Amino acid sequence: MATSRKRRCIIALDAGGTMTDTFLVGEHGEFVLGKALTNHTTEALSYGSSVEDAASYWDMTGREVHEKAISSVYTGTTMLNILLTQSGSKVGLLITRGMRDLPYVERGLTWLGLTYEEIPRQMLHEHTPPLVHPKLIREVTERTSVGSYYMGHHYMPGQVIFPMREDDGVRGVNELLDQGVEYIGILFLGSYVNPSHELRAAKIARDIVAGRGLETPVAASCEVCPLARESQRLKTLLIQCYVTKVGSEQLFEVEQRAKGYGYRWDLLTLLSYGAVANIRHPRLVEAIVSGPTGGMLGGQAVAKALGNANLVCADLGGTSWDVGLVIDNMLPVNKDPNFANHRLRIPMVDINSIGAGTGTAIRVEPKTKRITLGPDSAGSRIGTCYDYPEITVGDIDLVLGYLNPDYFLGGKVKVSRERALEALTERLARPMGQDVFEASEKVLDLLHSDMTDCINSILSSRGLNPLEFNLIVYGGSGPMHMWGVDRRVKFGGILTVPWAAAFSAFGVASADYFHRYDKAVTCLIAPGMPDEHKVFMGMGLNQAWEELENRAYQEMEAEGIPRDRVSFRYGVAASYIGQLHTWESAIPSGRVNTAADVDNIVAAFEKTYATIYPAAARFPNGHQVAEVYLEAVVPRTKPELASYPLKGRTPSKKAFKGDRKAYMDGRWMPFQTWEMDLLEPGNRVEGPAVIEHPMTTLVVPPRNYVELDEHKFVWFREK
Amino acid sequence: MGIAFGGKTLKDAVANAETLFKETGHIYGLRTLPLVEEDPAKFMKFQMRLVAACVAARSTARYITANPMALLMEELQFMLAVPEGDLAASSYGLIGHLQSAPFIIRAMASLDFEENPGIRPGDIFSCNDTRYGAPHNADCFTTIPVFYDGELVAWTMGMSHISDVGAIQAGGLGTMSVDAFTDGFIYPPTKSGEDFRLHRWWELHWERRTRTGIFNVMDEKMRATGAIILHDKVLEVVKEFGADYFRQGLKEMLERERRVMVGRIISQMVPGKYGYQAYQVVQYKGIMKSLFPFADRDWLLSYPCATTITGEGTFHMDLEGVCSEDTFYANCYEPALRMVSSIGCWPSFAYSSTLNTALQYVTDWKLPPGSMFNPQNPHAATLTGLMEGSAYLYMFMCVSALAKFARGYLEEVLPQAASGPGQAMHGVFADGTPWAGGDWPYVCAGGGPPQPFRDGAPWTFGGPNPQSDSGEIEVSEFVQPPILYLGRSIIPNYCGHGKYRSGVGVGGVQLILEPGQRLVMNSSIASGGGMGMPSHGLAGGYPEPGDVVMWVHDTNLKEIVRGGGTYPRDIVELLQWVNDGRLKAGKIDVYNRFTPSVECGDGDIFAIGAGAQLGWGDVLERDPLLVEQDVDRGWITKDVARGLYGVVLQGGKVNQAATSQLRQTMKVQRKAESVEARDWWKEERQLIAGKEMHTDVSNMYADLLRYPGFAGRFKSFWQLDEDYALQQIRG
Amino acid sequence: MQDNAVPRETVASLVDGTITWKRAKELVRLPVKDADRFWKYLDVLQSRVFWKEKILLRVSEHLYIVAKGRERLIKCDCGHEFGDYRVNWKLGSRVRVRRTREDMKKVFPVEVAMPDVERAELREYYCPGCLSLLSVETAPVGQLPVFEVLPDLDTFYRDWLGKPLPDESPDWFQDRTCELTGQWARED
Repeated sequence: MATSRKRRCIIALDAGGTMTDTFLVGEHGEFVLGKALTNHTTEALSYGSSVEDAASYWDMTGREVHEKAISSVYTGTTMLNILLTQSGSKVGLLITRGMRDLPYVERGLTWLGLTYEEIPRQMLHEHTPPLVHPKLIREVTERTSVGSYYMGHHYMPGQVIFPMREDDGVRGVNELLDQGVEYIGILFLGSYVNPSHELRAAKIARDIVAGRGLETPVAASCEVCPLARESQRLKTLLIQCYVTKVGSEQLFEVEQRAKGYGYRWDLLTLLSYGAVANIRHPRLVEAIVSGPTGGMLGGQAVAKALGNANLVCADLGGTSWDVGLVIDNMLPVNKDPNFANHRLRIPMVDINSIGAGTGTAIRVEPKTKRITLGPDSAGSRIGTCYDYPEITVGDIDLVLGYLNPDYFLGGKVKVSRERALEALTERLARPMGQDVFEASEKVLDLLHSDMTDCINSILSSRGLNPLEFNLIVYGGSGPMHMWGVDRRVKFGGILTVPWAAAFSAFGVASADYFHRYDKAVTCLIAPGMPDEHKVFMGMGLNQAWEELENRAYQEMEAEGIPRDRVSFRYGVAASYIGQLHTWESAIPSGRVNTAADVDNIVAAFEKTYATIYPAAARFPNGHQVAEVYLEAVVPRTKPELASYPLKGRTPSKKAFKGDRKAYMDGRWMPFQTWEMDLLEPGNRVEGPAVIEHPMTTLVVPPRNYVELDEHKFVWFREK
Repeated sequence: MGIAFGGKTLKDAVANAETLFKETGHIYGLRTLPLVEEDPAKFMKFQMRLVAACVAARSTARYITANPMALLMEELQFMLAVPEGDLAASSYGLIGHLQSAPFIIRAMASLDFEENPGIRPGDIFSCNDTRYGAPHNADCFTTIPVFYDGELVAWTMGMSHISDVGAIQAGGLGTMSVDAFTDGFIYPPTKSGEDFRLHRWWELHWERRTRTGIFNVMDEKMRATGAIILHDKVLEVVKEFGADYFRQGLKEMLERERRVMVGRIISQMVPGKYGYQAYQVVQYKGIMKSLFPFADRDWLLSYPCATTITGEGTFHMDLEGVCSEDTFYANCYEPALRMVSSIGCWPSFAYSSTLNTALQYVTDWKLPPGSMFNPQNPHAATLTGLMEGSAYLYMFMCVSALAKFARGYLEEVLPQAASGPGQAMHGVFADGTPWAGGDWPYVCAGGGPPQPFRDGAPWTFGGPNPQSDSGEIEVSEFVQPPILYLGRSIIPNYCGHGKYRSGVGVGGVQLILEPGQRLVMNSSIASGGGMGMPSHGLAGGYPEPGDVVMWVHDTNLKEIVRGGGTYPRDIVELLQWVNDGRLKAGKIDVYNRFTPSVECGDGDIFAIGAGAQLGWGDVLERDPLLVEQDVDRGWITKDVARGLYGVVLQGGKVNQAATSQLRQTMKVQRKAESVEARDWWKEERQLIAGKEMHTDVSNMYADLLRYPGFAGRFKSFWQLDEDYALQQIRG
Repeated sequence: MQDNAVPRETVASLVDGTITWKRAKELVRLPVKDADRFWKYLDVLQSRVFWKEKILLRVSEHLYIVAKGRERLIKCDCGHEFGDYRVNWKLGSRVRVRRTREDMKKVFPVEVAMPDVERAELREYYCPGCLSLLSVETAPVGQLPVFEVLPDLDTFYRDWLGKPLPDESPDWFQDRTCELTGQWARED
C-alpha cells in the first residue's frame, strides 16, 4: 500500500443515530469504509475514531489521511438531537404585536407524524415543543401589507400600514437580554415582501447587543427565509435560533479535531437541499438534513456515472423505506418539508418515507385477520430473533433463510432463528391459519407492495414513467428486498452497490458545493398582456436575481471563495394566477429582457404542469411567478467512480461460500451463497443465490442474476 | 342490459344490496369473508393498494386549487365507492363527508341516470344538492364511473368545500335563507363533463352563479383531476387482481370494517340509554320583516338525543323532541346529519386503515317526519343545516366518552363541544372591482377537549377535519386584502373550566382597511348560539363558553396607532379598550350565534373568540399546581384562580393551607346557595305551569308538544295536566 | 398475540390522573385493548371507597351504581346514597341555579362568551353529602335534567362480560324518573 501514503483523498462522514460512517476516497476513485459508534456528546471523538478505522484499511493513520485530504465533509445528528431532546439555546423572540402565541399554537398542525389510521384519533394530536419560552417573547407594534391577489385594486405588496414603534423593539431587546437569552429571532408579518421593519429591528438589536459588549446572535426571518407563510417561516427562524448555536459549536469542534490531525482546509457540511457548504454558512438551519439526503447525493453521482440522468433512489433501513428522485441530474426539493413534526419553509431534498423497514413490527388481529405493519419498529434490535418483543420483517428474512444467522454484521451479532420461528408460528401463522413459511412470504409480499406504492406515488405525482428511470436500492437491508420491487414495476434498470450500507457517506463525498437562495416576487402575466408590461414584470425578476447574486457573492467570499469561481443556476416557482401552490422550473438565464423571455418562463411552467396533470387541470387564466431561486455553484473536486478492468463471467472459487436452503415462491430450494467483497467486475452470479457482505445481504431469486460492471455496480437482471 | 355486474341495472344492484343487509345483518349478505379467510395477506395488500391510490390522488390534485381551505386547511377528500355506492376506501381530509357519497350515487341510480343522461366511461358527474346527498351546497362532489369490460366496477369521487355558493349572503356558510331559492347555487346530480373533460358551459355556471367563480372552477378542476387520477390507478388494481377479486374484495372490506366497529363498541363501551342535549338560537326578527315577513321571527332550537348503545353493539338515535322544519337555513336531510355526526365516531370507534362508510350499517336514526332533520317541504332551505346536525357529532363524542369512562378506557375518553366560526365577505373595491372571500381558521383548528386525566391544549383539534390546520395569515390576507390581522392569540380564562380544563380558546382581531365602495361580512358559528352544543359539561365540568363574533364600528384605531399608539389583540382587550375609552367606537355588534350580513367601513374592527371546549370534573378538585402553572403561562388570571378554582397564590406560588381553607368555605357556600332537587322541581314547575317563559322558549315547547313522545315525557316529568298546551306567539 | 395486559398500577394512575402522557399514548395505541380492563378498573375503584357495597359500574367522577341487598343504587364515593339508579340521580342532588349575568360570570369569566341568560339558566348539581359538583347544564326553563346514563346492566354483564348478574330482570332497564316526580306531586 506504499502508494496510498501519497494519495490525495476526500474524507466524508455521515453520522447517524447509532453509527458514524466514513467514506474515504482516493484520487483514482479507490475507497475504503470506516465505522464507529456515534458519540452524541462529543461528535469530534466519533469523527476521529471513524476516520481512523477507515484509514487503517490503507495502513494509514488518521493524521496521514488528513494531511493528504483536499476536503473533509461531515454531516452530523447534533441539531436533530438538540431538537428531540429540547436542549437548545435560550431563545428570545421579537414578533408582530398580537402574534405572541404563534410559536405555541403552530397553526394547529398537531397531527404531523401520525399514520393514516392515527390521524382521526384526535387524542393523539399534540403540539411540538414551542422552542421559545412564552416569557421570552416580546411584541412590536407594526404592520406591513402582503399585497393581494387583486394587485392594483387594493394595497400593493410591502406597503407599510403601521410604522414600527422602535421603542417596542428597544425595550423588548433589552428585556430579553436582561433575561439572558442566547439568540434573538425577529419575525414580522409580511417581511418577505418588505423586510424594512425586520431589518431595522435587527439593526436595533445588534446595536444594543454590541453596546452591552455581548455577542448574542440576532436573526431576522427575512435573512433566514424570505418566503410567505408566517407560521412555517417562524418555525424555520426558531430552529435557526434554537439549534444552530450549539450545532455550529459541535461542527467547529469537529473541525478542530480535523485540524489537529493536520487537515488544512475549512470543514464542510451537508445542506438540506443536497449541497455541501462551509460550516460557517450563515443559515445553518439549512444544515438540518433528514437522514436519507446523503444517499440521494450518492444516487446523483451514480446517475452521472451511468450517463442516465434519471434515477430513483431507494434506501431500506431498519425503520423506514425512503425514496427520492434524481431528475436530469438534479434533486427536486420540497419547500414545505416536515421535520421532526415541525413544518418548515426551507428547500429540502424531496423524499417519500414510509415506516417499512426490516425492523417493522408485524401484527395480526385474530378475529378480523387484519394484518398491520408498524408503525413501531425494532430498529437496531432487529426482532424476536434478537431482543425485540414484537415479530418483525427481520425475523422473516431470517426464518426464510435469506439472512445468515452467523454472519449478521459479519457475525458480531448473534441472532436466534429458533426464537424467530417460534414467535412467527405463534403470532403470524396461527392467526392467519397458514403454514408459517407461506404466511411469512405473504407478509413480505405485503411489504414489497407497500414499498412499490411508495415509489409509484412519487413518480406519478410528477407524471413520470418508471421505464425512463434506473432504480438504485441501498441501505443495510435494501439489497435483501430489491427483488420484491423488481417483480412489481419495470424500470430501465435496477442496481445496487457493494457498499450499499455506507452509501450515504459516499453521497456526502460526492455532493456539489453550492448555496440555494429563494425569494418571493410579485409577477403576474395576464393573457394578452402587452409586451411592454411583460418586460416590466420581468424587471422585477431581474431585480430579485441580482439581489440574490450579490448575496451569494458576499457569502461565498466570506467562505473564502473568489467571485470568478462562482457560477449560477436560475429557476422560477410559478403557477396559474390564483393557485396557491407553485411548481418549479429551471430556466437558462437569470435575466428577462424581452417579452419572449417572459413567454419562455410561461412555457417552462406549462411544460412542468402538463407532465403532472391531465388536460382537465389546465386553466388558461394567466400566470404568476411567486418565487425565484438561485443556485450559486462552486466547482469542487469530487471522487470519480473508479472503473476496473472486467474479469470473466464466472466468479473466483474463493468467493463461493456453499449452498443454503431458502424459501421462495412457496418452496424451499438451495441458494448458492457468495462473499460480496470477493466478487469482481464482470462476474455474474446466477439466481437462486444470496450474496453476503458483513453489512448487507443481496438476495437473487431463481429467475434473476446479478452482474458487476466496471464500477462494481451490481446490476439486478432477469435471465 | 344494465351497466352493473351480470347485466343488472344500477337501480336493481342498489335495491339488491339493501335487501341483503336487511335479511342477513351483514353488508351484501356476507356472512363469511372468503377472500379474507383464504389469504389475509393478499387481501391486506389489495386494501393497501386502494388506500394508497386515494391518498396519492389527493396529494397530487390538491395543489391545483386556488382556495386556501383546500390547500392549507386540507378541506378536500378523494374516495372510492362500489357500484352500489358504499365507500370502501378514501384519502383523509374532510373524512366526515365521505358519508354523503353513497347517497349521491344511490340518487343517480334511483333517478335512472343509467337511462338518461346515461352513465358511460369518461363521464363526469357533479352534485352539491342536499336533497340528493350533499351535506350543504358548499360541499361539492365530483364523481367518475370506473368501467372494466363494459361493467361498472366502481366510482371515484372528489369532494371539497368551496368558498362561495352564490347565496344571498357571501361564503359557503350563510345563515340568512328561508327556502331553497335563497340557498344559492344548487345543482342536483349533473353530467358536467365527458371524455374526462369538464364541459365549458359548466365552468360558465360557476362563473355566473357564484362570487368566487375562478376559485370555484379551479376547485372543480381539482376534484375532477383527482377523481381521474384515482380512476386510472383503480383500473390498474382491477387488472392486477382481476375483476372478480376486485368486485368481491371491495364488499369484503366493507363488511370487515363493520365487524371491526361493532367489535370496538362491544369491547370498549357499555350498553344502555345515554342522554344528551344541545341548543341553537336563530334570530330573523327584524331582519326578514319586509322581504320575507313569514320568516320574521326568532327560534330556540332544541337538539336532544336519546341514544341507545344496543346489546348488538350498534348505535340507535331517537331524535323525537327535535324542532320542526321551518323557514330557516337550519333544515337538513339524513345524509347531512349522518355526514356531520360521523365525525364524532372516527376518534373513538370508526377509525380505520381504510376510511369507509360501513358506519352507516352500525348507526340508525329515528328522524320524525316534518322535523328539521327530515323536512317534507321539497324547497326547505338547507344552506347551513349541517352545522345544526353537528349537534350530533358532539353527541357521539360525549356519549362515547361516558361509555368508555364507565368501561375504564379513560385514555379513549374525548368529549368534544362545538367550536369555530367561519367568516365570509364580499365587496367592491374603490375602483369598482368586485371580490369575495372567506376564511376558516377557527373552524379548522380548535381547542383540544379535556380527558379525565389531563387538560386539553389550544388548537389541536379539527372540527370538520381531523387534520387540524388554521392556515397562514399571510395567505388569508393575500386573498382578503381589506381584513388586516392585529392579533391571533390565546384568550385568558376562555375555556371550559373543571378538574381538567379544555384547551384555552384562541381569537383574532382584524382591522377593516380601506374596503372601498362596499364590504359586507357574515359569520356562522356551530357552538349553540349561547346555549351550548352540548349544553352541559361532563362529570361536573362547566359547559364550553360560546364562540364570539363582533364588529366594533367607526373606531379611531388607525389614528391611535399612526399617532404612536398601539392596538388591542383579542376580544377581551378590545372590549376593555372601548369601555375605558382608550378606543373611540360607534356601534358595537356582538354575536354568540350566526350573524346577519354586516356592512363594514374603513376603521371598523372585526373580532372573533373561538375554540374553547367543555370542562371535565369539579373545579375545586383541580390540582392547585396546575392552576399555578396556568397563571404563570397567562392562560388563567389570578382572580379566576381564586374565585373559581379556590386557589390562593402568593408570589405566583400556591399557598396550600390557604387554598384548602378557601375551598372548604366555597363548599359551605355551595350548600347555602343550593336547594334540594325537590324544591327546585317545585319552583321550576310553577314557572312552566304559569307559562312564565321567554317567548322563544315557549314557542319551542308549543312546537315540540305536538310530538306525542315528547309531550308524554314533558307532562309526566313536570306532572302537568293532559290538556297542557302552549300557543305559538309571534311576539 | 403479543401480551397487552395493562398492569393494575397503570389503571390506577389513569384514575388518579398521575399517568404520564407517554404511557397514556401507549394505551391509546394498543393494537388490541386489554380485555380485563373493566375488572382491574372496578378493583381499583372499590379499593378507593371506604364503603363495602359492590361497585357494578362507575357513571361519573364520584358516582357509582352499587349492589345493595336487592337494590342497585347510585352512591357517591363520599357515602351518600341517591337511590335507585333507574331514577335520574339529579333528582336526589342539591341544585343551584344561576339566572343573572352577575351570577353567571363567576363561572364564565369571559363575560362576552357566557350563556344566553335571557333564554337559559345554568344548573349546578351537587352531592348533598360532600357538595362536590357532579354535573352542570345550561337549560331553558322546563328542560328535563339530562339523564346521563341508564345502563343495560344485565346485557352488559351477561353478553358483553360473560358474567351474568345474580339478580337479572327486565325491569332493570327502565327509566323510573317520572315515578318519583309523580310521587312528589301527590305528596304536595
